[in-house]
Amino acid sequence: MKNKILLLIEDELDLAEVTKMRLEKEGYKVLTVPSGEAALDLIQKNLPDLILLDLLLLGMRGEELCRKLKSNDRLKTIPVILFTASVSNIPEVVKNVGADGYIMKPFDPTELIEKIKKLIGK
Amino acid sequence: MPMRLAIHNARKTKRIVTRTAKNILCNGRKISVMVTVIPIKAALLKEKFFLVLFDEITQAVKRKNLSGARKGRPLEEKSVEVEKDGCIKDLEKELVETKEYLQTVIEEQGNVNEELKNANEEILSSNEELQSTNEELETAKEELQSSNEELTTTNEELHNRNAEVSLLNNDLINLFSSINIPVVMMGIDLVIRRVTPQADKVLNITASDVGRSISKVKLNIDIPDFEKTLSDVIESLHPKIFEIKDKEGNWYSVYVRPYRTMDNKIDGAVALFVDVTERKHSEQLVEEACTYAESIIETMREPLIVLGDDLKVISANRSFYRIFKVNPEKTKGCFIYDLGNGQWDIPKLRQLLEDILPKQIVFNDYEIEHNFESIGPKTMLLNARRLANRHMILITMEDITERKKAEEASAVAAKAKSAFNSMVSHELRTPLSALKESVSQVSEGLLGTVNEDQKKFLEIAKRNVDRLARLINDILDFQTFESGKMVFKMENNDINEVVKETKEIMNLVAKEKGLNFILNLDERLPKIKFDRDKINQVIVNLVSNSLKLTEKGSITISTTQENNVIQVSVKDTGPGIQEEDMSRLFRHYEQLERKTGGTGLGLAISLEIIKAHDGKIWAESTFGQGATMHFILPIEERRRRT
Repeated sequence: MKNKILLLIEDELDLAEVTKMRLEKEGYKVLTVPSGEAALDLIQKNLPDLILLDLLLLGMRGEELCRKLKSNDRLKTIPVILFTASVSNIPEVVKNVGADGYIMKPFDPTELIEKIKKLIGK
Repeated sequence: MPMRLAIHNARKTKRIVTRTAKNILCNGRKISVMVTVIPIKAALLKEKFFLVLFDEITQAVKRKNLSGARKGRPLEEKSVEVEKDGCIKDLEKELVETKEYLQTVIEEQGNVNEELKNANEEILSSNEELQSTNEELETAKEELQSSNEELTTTNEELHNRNAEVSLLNNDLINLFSSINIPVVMMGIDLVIRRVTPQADKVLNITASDVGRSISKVKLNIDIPDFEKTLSDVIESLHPKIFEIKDKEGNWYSVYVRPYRTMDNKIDGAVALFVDVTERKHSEQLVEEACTYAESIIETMREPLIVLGDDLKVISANRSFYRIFKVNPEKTKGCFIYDLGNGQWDIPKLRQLLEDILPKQIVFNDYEIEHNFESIGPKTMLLNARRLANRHMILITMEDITERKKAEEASAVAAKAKSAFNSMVSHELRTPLSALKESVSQVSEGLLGTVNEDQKKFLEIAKRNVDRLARLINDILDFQTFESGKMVFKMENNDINEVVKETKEIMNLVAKEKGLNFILNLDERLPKIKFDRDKINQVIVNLVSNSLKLTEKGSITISTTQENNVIQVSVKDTGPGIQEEDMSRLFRHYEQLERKTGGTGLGLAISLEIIKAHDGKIWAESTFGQGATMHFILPIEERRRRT
């Protein structure tokens, strides 16, 4: 069976690298990009199975990217999990932008993996 | 004698007359002379001339001559023989002749005399007549002269009058054309007698309307009962004033007065139309301003009270009555100290009103603490001023009781916050030190061999521990700045060295991102006094911001000297700063849209450091075209900060 593709959009490169490592250990193929603009290209090309999206990005913000994805007929079925370090009203943001879940930084890796599995399976 | 007779006869008869004159003494002897008088006739001669011939008669000749000469005159024939008789006869004859002659002469003389007398009398009377005529003439002349003088005077007066009238006329014309006031003069029958040029525009009365009745002219302005008003004025002799508005919204004050002649007779009416639009407008403005001021005063939250010089209340605003729970009836006209059971009888207020205000016109922020009977203990801030005419005192009061409490509370809170922050920071640092040390020990292989992958991850851990430590340092630094406890080590340093050091630290990150790190340093810069570590921190802050934001291109640090300052500029080719973000750039905890990945304190701390060096820091950017951060440090240190 072909490995599921995860796209991690995160501009904290250190965090992106360690997270990628952990998810690869779980058997996912992980692509990382540091910005929303770069992510859009990549998503069109590779059609990932799930997107992990940091809200506080340089340039295009996470919310905006998520809305774009969810309003695109071809891409809106791809589940999106939001990453955030901010504590205020995340559930509302998730609802507004049509994301499929969120996880707070700093996150527990097992919790993240569980959420991913719940959405797309192994 | 015979000659005279002869001449006389000759004249009378106009014939030749001959006479003999005897015994004429000549040269001592007696001679006889024959005198012949011949009248000479000549047309050319005006007077009668006589030729007189004298012949001496000698004895011989005498006889001979006598006989010859006296042929026509038998009267004179004598006999020579009777010489003596002859002689007597001659003498007698002569005497007769003389008598005759004398007679004639006398007669003539009498005639002449008579004539002369008559003539004289005539002359006399004529003379008298002439004299009286002369006198009359003289009188007439005098009269003429005086008449003439009178005429001249009259003429002069007329001349003067004429000049005066013409001047008056000119004045009147000029007055009429230069006063920008429509004036209409009317006779007693309301017939227009005179108008000013301005009447055309305002009233539609032109010079050609002179001679027409005012009621026949269609006026531009609708004046109700104008004719009646005019008639009333003419009858009652009382001037009338009223205001009207024309169709264009201009206001006019209309003055209707009776027309008085010089001898105080009423001969019509005069109507003046004075444009009072401006005044009306001003009045309106003043009214608006008054209402405006009043509504401000009434709406003011602060109590406001106006006192007279006698410290009695003239007026107070609504807030005053509301806050001090008094009513206007019991306040106005009262002595300030008597208000509300004497609750305003405060020693400090007395001092303000009686000692300070008479000397000072304005007094601001005069704090009074007092336990008011109606509202309890309050702290009031009083602003007082004498009003322009100096007979009134305006006092505004601000209840700062709550504010004072809030300020005290806020001071306590700030202290608590500061304590809390430093506690948090210190508490954070302690575990961080343990974490960092543990990771270091594993990474360095002190606890057994570490493979490359492990080492890589340990490095990530260490890097992020360092970053966290830096962030905590930022927070601590900022706390110190805020509490004013930061100490600077001011020493002579070379700014270029510090810049080079920064490049050493940051170059790796730049390389990883593929950015050029360029230095553009003025090597002639003098050494100046600054805290090397703090300035290093500023440059690192600026460069790390640029590095985080710039995806391609370069970071350039340049140093220059301008007048008596050294300028350091960090230029990047990143996205730049949006106009609206410029002002927020140096504020605490502002991370703006451009995420810097820091605490948001970096620029705020840099600002504090540069300010402590008497320098300046600012940003320049056109959004989309990169940003440049500049700071300047003075070459001459003006004052030392601790």
